[in-house]
Amino acid sequence: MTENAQPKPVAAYCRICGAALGEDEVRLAHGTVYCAAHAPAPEEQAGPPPLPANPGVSPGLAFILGLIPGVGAIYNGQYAKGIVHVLILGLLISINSSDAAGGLEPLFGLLISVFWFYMAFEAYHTARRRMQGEAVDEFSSLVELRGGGRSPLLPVLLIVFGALFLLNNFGMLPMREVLRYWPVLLIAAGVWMLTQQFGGARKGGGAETGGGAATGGVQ
Amino acid sequence: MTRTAELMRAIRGPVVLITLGALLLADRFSGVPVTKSWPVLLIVFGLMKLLERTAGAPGAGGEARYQG
Repeated sequence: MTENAQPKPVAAYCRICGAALGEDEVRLAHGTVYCAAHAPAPEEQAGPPPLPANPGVSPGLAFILGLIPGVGAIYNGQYAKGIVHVLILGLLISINSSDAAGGLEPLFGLLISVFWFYMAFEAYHTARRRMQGEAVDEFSSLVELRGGGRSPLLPVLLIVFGALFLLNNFGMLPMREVLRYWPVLLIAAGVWMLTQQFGGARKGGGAETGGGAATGGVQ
Repeated sequence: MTRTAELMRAIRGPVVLITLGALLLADRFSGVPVTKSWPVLLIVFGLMKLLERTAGAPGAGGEARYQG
């Protein structure tokens, strides 16, 4: 093809042969420009990307092993996490079976069962990430505690619950008595939803439904 | 600003360990059973994390600006 027989403006030049290329002849590969003859075979685009990187990792096996405290994390090769899980579960069980719960044994029983299943599901998600070759978080695959980092919700919750347990243990604020007033939470949730409805009506009425106040009454 | 947050993060483990030791000592010698005083550990841990968060708040904003 001659120079004056090419009405199209030149968009780029081939990296290999230097041919002038029009807009529709440009082949992009590895971040540079090739002509159609010299473009490398697109081996990256050919294969489907979600090929399991580690086909030997089984999330179902991780879930089942996760029901044994710490073993799910050990299956995923996270030994420190396994030890921490065993320590947390043992701490909860020993709090519940000694008199340290101070009358709040049902609450700790719930926490124990929640944490038990948390371990299994966490092992499942970690194993699935490993199978797909993704990066595995050392702390938890389910809860994002380090990523956000803005809201001081977790420390405030720790301090509030610590203070409540402390007052409860020394008998200054017996939770067994306080928790008898748990329907107040329903009233508070209703009032809060009302204020959301009336106050947020101008802003488009995106009132969320109030988070379930699932604090079961002990008494 | 971030140095304070790093300091808080670094001394969190030792401070919790010292608190645990103090609670066990109080259990042995002053008659406050550790089965009653264990929520102090929660409070100390939460306080340390809160201090780290507030001390590192400007630094954390700067990191977010670099990432975004």
